[in-house]
Amino acid sequence: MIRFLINRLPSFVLLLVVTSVIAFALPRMVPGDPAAALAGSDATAEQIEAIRQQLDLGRPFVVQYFDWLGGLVQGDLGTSILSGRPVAELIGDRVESSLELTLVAATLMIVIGGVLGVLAGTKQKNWIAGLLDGIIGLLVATPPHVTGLVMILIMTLVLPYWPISGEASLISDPGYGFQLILLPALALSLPQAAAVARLIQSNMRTVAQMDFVELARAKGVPPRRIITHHILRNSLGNALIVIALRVGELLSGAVVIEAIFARNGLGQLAVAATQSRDYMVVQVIIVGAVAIAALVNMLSEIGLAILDPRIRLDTK
Amino acid sequence: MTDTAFSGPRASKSRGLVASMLRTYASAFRRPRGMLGLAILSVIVLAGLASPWLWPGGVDQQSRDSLLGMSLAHPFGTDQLGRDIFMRTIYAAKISLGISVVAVPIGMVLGTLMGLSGMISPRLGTICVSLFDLLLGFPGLILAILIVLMVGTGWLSLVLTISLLSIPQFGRLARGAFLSEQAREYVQAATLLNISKTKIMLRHILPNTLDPLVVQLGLVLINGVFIEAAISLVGLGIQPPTPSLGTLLNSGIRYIYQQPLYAAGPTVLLLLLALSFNLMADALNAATGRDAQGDR
Amino acid sequence: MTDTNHTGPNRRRFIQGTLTAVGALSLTGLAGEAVAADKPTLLKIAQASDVQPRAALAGRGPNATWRHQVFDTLTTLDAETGEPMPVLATSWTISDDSKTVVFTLRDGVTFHTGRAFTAEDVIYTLNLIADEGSISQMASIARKFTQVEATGPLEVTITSTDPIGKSIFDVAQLAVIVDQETISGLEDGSKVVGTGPFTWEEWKVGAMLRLAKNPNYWAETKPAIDAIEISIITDRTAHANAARSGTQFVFEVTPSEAVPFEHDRRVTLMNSPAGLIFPVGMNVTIAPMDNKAVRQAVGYAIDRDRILDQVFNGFGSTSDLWWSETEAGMTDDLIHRYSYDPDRARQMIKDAGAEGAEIEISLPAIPMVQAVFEVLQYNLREVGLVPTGRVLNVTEFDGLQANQDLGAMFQQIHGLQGFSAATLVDVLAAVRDQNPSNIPLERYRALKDKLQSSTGEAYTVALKELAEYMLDEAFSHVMVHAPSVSVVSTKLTGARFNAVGYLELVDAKLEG
Repeated sequence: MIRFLINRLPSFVLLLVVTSVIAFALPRMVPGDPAAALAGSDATAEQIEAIRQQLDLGRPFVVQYFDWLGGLVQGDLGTSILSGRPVAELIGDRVESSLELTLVAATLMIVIGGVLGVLAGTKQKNWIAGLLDGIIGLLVATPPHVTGLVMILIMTLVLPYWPISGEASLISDPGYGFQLILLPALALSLPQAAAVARLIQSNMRTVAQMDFVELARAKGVPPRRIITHHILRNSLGNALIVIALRVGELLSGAVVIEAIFARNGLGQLAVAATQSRDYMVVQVIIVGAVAIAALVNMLSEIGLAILDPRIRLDTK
Repeated sequence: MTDTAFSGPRASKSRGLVASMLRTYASAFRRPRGMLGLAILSVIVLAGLASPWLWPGGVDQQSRDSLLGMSLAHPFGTDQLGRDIFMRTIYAAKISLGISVVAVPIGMVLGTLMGLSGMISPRLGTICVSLFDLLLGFPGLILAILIVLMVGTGWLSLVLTISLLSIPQFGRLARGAFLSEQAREYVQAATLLNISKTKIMLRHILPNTLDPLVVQLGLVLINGVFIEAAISLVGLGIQPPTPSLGTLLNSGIRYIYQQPLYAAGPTVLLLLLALSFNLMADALNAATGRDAQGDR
Repeated sequence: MTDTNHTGPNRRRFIQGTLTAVGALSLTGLAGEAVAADKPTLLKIAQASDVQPRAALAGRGPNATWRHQVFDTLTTLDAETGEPMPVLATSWTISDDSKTVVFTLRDGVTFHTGRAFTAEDVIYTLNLIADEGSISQMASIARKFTQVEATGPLEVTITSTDPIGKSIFDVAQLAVIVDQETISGLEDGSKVVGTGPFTWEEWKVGAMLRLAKNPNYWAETKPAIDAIEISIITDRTAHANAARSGTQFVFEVTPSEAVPFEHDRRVTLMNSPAGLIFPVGMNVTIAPMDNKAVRQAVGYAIDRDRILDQVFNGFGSTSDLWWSETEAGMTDDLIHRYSYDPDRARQMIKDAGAEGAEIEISLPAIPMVQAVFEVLQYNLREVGLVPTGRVLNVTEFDGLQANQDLGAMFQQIHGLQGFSAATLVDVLAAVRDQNPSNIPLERYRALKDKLQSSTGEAYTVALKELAEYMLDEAFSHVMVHAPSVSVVSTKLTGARFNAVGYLELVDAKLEG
């Protein structure tokens, strides 16, 4: 595995370098600049120019890029143009919200995915099996923001006073915070839960046809015990690793959900910074997101290799 | 995605190949799931195409009758500017699907080519895999906003965003198929026989990667519709007065307490589209011999 | 002919400006404090955009909720009469030629750091506003001051080449007195020090601002609320929903979001006298808008009443003017010069040969502006033009607006209502000298100068003359005046907006 990691290192570093260039250049290619955002709607051209001078945005791009990169290597993420605060502080302020959402969503994903998967993987009446397949299929295909909208719609009609959107810390205001986090976390978790359910379902079906299950059945073990002791135990192993990896996907899916349910997480920070041309913030978030996704991807390859010895990591 | 359930290598003459593939796909739509999925989609598309004749007043016929409830004349009521929501929803589905239908195939072609590029040179293949990682990791909404800011709001930036985001969806699939096919005897034999790489790719590898790509096409198409909806939700999609499912949802949510039907119409339509594409993908999966349940 | 009725059944009434329970301030001021001692009272405010401490000296909507809690001004304009009222200045004298103003300052005022407030602080603040890098809308007026000097420890004398008897109070309204020792703290909001009833405690960028009571406030009645928490909720729906879940003051909701609260007994809809105007402008150097008749036709084409009813749910009023209709001499003929008359508009456009002309309308990606655009483009299509929208990100739009480069036609949104017309014509981007309509300046500037240098009856005459000129040139059509509507819990009393829409909470009380 270490050899695999070493082999992968150059391409991982290359990916990060390319990403940093794109994350630096792309926002700066967009028309409009932070000076205009700072100067406000009523500003005159002279006022904007005066601010541009103050901000020192005129330095050559190459110099700015290497300044930033140099800082990154030393752990300095830079300073936000608009608020004057360190980017690390802005991100730190928002991390709690994003983590809370991801954790609650992950819990829901495991519970819902597990229940649906076990139900669908065991023998059911025909129409129930069809219904379960339909539900799982629809949930897999519907992304979190649409699920979220459906839930908003239903809640406004059924429980008009349920707080739909906004934010309260789960730590300092648990009751209200939980009410607020339930819908977005549910919306975020459902597609992933359905995917987990599918995996468990197909694993259970495969295991159910294996010889040792047949043997147990022939020996007269009660069906319920066969499911819990034989099938389930042997189906959940690789599901667990896949679940762990899906948590990474939850994190990246949170951006739109945050926008819909008005949560002040990292996604909202990124959207606001992009709209107001706060390059320093945007570029850090992009690089961070790509790095996390690439790491998760690498872990998934390692995880799958551990599960299935037939896959050899060094051939890739 | 290393899948052993592929039917054996297809290397028959191209005309026979196309015909057999079309037969396979057509058989998918004889299955109940495929039939139902196709029926839902056809109704929506036909209604969208027929909308100019069904509602000659046009999609932007404003009046003083704002926010009316359900009635025979207005099955979903009217919006804040007195326009018929039902008609706008149907029209919006046509616009949203249209964007996806233009954008996703572009992503499919680019993604597939990039996924198979390892055939030309292994290094190129690795670079493409890195690009997939980059595209998958890049926060989609931020990419969309940046593109809109550069190109301007409208269909062009949506098409660009959706095709870019679709590239890795196909690319990884093609790459996986390429890797598993490459190891097989028939490819190695062909290489030994000095058959050109392009020929091997076109004649042997591509046909054998097509089935999963076609199934994926359905799923990514509906994903394109969803991406459009997400971008419009933050106000950067198709601009009024042209409706898209996203813009309708966007304004529908604003009037949710006064006129719940406003948001319900486009939401239901989105779900119907999702259902229809999903059913068709299932049927195609079954027809091409892959077990839908085994796929993520 | 056409419908000029602007008091139709759909129009809504509000409580104007203040939410004072009768006598609450004077009678229960002490009782309020006694209650506060038992259980600290926390006022929760929600608003849609982040606060901007860096722009404390400029007029910025997102600063309306906190600026006058932390800072004080010399004077404030009365919400009803528009007359200046004493705050940090206790009295003032204006010379006969209106070119010299002397302020006498309040004694015994200290900054939150404990330092005493003096004439030097006023001079420092006014210099900042006139400074080259200033982003205050009042910069151009403050730059006309030839001398700002301390004529005593608590006396400031301001002289100018132009008459400033009226505009000085507009400047003072925006010029919150800042502390020069901690001024760099405004840049990143790490330290924000004023003389106001509340102190700036903690700002989480983009998320939350916390203020606490200033126990050493100079006024006799100390604030009754112990702490204020302002949450930033950028999503509009979520923002309005905050009122359903324990937030007592939801600042500025959009009209469609205000409607569901109209019959909710737990809240009141409170409108600020300031609010927004929504103009559509045309560049007089680009065909076909170089033809005055076409520009006037646009005025007749717009169905302002429908915009008011359908987009603003009846909140607000239709008016063609860039300033308040309560300004001196504003008759109905001026306020409603362009009433909806599509037939006339169509004929005028046909006569001008502009039928079928394709016109791109630039607009910022602000939901209310986009909503107005939907009706506007329909109206223009009705009269024979072919409009298309070009929606721009706000930052990009603002940059183009500053460069006077918005194309043939453009929609704007302007705050700052409540200031005098004399000031507005030089600060609103739609009508100031550097406007994106590129209107020739000779006569326009002369009329503005005349207005700004006159007082009393002459002011009325000058304003009428300027209004006539602007309406006739028709380079900018105001469509709607919309108030800023806030959803306020009935438990909150004594909160009020000043004339230009800044919230004042020094007398506010919160029940149980």
